[in-house]
Amino acid sequence: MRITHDNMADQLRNGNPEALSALIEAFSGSVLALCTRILGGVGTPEDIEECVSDVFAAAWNKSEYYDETRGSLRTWLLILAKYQALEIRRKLKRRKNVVVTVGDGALSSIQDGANPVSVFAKQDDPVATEVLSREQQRAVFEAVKSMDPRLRDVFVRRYFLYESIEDIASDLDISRSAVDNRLSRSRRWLRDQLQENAKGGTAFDETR
Amino acid sequence: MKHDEDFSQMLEMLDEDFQMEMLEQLNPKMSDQSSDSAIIRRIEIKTFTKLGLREPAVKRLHANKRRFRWKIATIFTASVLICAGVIAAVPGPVSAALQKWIEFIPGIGTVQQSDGQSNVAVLNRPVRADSPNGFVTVMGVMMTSTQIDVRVNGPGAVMPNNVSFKTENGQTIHLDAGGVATGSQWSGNYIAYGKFGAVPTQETGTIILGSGWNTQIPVQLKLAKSVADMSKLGPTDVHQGVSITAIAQREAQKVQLTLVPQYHGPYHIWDLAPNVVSSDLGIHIQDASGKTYKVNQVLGEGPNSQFTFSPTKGVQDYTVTIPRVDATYQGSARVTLPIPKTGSIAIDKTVNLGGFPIHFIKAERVSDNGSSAGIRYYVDMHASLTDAKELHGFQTGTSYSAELNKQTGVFEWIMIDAKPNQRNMTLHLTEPQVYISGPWKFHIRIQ
Repeated sequence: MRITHDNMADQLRNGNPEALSALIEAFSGSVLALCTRILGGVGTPEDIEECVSDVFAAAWNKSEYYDETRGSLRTWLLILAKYQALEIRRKLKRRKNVVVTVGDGALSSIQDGANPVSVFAKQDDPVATEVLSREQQRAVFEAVKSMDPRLRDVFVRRYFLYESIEDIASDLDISRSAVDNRLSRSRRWLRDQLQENAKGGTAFDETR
Repeated sequence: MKHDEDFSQMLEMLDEDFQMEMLEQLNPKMSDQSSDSAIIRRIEIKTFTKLGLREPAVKRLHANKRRFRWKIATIFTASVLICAGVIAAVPGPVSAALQKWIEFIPGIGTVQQSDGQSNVAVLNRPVRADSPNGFVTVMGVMMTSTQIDVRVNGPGAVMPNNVSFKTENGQTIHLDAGGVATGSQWSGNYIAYGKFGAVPTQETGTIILGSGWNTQIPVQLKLAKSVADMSKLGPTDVHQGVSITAIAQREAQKVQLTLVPQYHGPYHIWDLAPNVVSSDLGIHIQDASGKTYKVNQVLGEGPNSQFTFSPTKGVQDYTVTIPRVDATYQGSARVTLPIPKTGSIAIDKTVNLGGFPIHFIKAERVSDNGSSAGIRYYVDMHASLTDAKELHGFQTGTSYSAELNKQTGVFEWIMIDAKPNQRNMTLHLTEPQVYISGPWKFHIRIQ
C-alpha cells in the first residue's frame, strides 16, 4: 500500500511498518534538528541518533494516542522528541553528577534576571518552582500567545525550540543583536504579564 | 546563559497539550536539519531493530560489502594529502572508509594521512542527474591506482545493479554493486579492484548506469595534494603516545578549532574534550591576559574534535589546553556476582577488562517492587587523577545506570535490574572507557 501524508497516521495505528518507514523518511530532519539542539554539548552524535530512533519507536508504540484534531503528526513527533531529548539530557547530566535545578529558590518578587517561574512560588515552598499548576501553565501559554508576533516568533524559537541565536538571526535575516534585543523585550514583557497575573490581574482571561 | 535556561525550563514545565498548542497555534518558523541518507537509514534500522520489526521493502542487494582498505602509513612519518571539500561530498560508506584516515578541517579542506606514495582522486561535490527512474545523485567517487569506489543514491526501492566507470581515456571498468534500499530510498556502493594505472591529476570520468537505467553522469575528479606532515598545519603536542594537532581557522567573527589526534594502540579516541564533572567541555582557551573563552562544540559524525570560540578583537595569540581525552579500549570479561536477598553483602572479586582492573566491593539491594529489584554494585577501578590512563566506565551487556565520582568522573557504582528471586547475575563487561591524561597545550595565532 502506498503511504501518503493523509493515510500515514491510520497506517501507523494499523501497525503497518511501511508507515513507520515513511514517517522516519518524512520527519527525521525535524526530529533530528530538535534533538541535536537539546542534546548539543551534552550528548554524542550517537546519543542524538539513539534519541531520534527512540522518538520514532515511541511514535510506533503510542500511535493510538495520536489525535489529529489536536495537531499535525509533525507537531506530535516534535513534542515526543522534546520529552525524549530532555529526559536523555537529564540522564546524561546526572551521569556526570551535574545537579539539574529549576530556578534558584522561591522568590516573592520578580526582578530582571530572576527566574520567571519564581513569580508563582511561595516563600516557604521551594517545590513550587518545579511544578506549575494548570492555571499557571495557562497563564504562561496565554502570555506567550499574546506577545507581539515578532517577539513571540523569536522567543518560541529560542526557548521552546532551542534554536541558536545565530540560526535565528540568519533565518530572519537580522543581526544577532536584533535577536538579543527581541529576546530581552519578550522576557521583560512575559515577566510583567506573569507578575500581573500572579497579583490577581486579569491579563489572561480565557476569552482573550 | 541563565536567561535561556530559566525560560526554557519554564516552557518545559508545560503539559503536553499546552506544548502541542504552542506549536500548532503559534506556528513558529523552525529550521530543520537536512539529514543525509546514511543518517536516516541508520535511524530507520535502529528503530526497526528496537521494535523487533522487519524492515519493509529493505533489500540488501549484495552481501559483498567490501570497503577500501587504505594502507595506513606509520603515523609519524606520514605525509598529508589535502583536497578541499571531500568529506562533505562523500558521506556514507565511502566517507566511512575515508574518515578513518581523513579529517575534514574547515577552511582547509580534507587532510589525509598516507605514506606519500598513494594518490587518491576524489569528487569534490555531489552530482545530481536525471534518469528514467527518477533523479540519481552521485554522492562520492574515490579512485586510486588499484581501487574505485562510487556511491550513488536515489528515491525508490530499486537500485541500479549494472554500474560502470568510464575513464577519460575510454577504459570502461565494471563495478560490483552493493548497498541498501528501503521502500523510499536506495543507496548503492559500487566498487572495483584492479590495476588502473597512475591516478591522473585531473580525471573527467563518466558513471554509467545500465540495464534499463540508461543514464550517464560525467564527474570531475581531482587529485589530492600533499604536504609534509600534520604538524605543518598547526601546533602539535604529544602525551602518552597520543599526538594531537590543533588547527585554527578564522571564520567571520569566530575561530574554528579542529583537533586531529594520531595514535597507535588497541583503542579508539572518541572524545577530545570530555566533560568529567560538569556540562562544560573539557577544553580551555585563554589569552595572555588570562581571559578565558567559552568554547562551543560543533556536532558532527566523527569524534568530538571540532570547536568554535569568539576571539577578542585585536588579540591574536591564545593558549588551548586539553586536560584529557576519552578513549574506548578493546577487551571483554565475564563476571558473575551475587545478589543479596536483603540489604547488602560484601564482594571481593576483581576482573581484568582490557588491562584495567575492576574490583567489585559490595552488592546492595536498593529497591524491590515485587516485579523487579534494583541491585547496586559498588566498584573500585583504582583510578586517580594522577594516573596517565584511568578506567572510568564500561558496558555491562545490559541496561544499567551508574554514579560517577564527583572529582574523577569514574564509576562508583552501577545499578542493574534483576528478577526478585534471582540469586546471582552474570555481566558481560566490554568497551572499557579510559581517560588518557595530557595535558596537551597549544599556542595558536589567529591571523
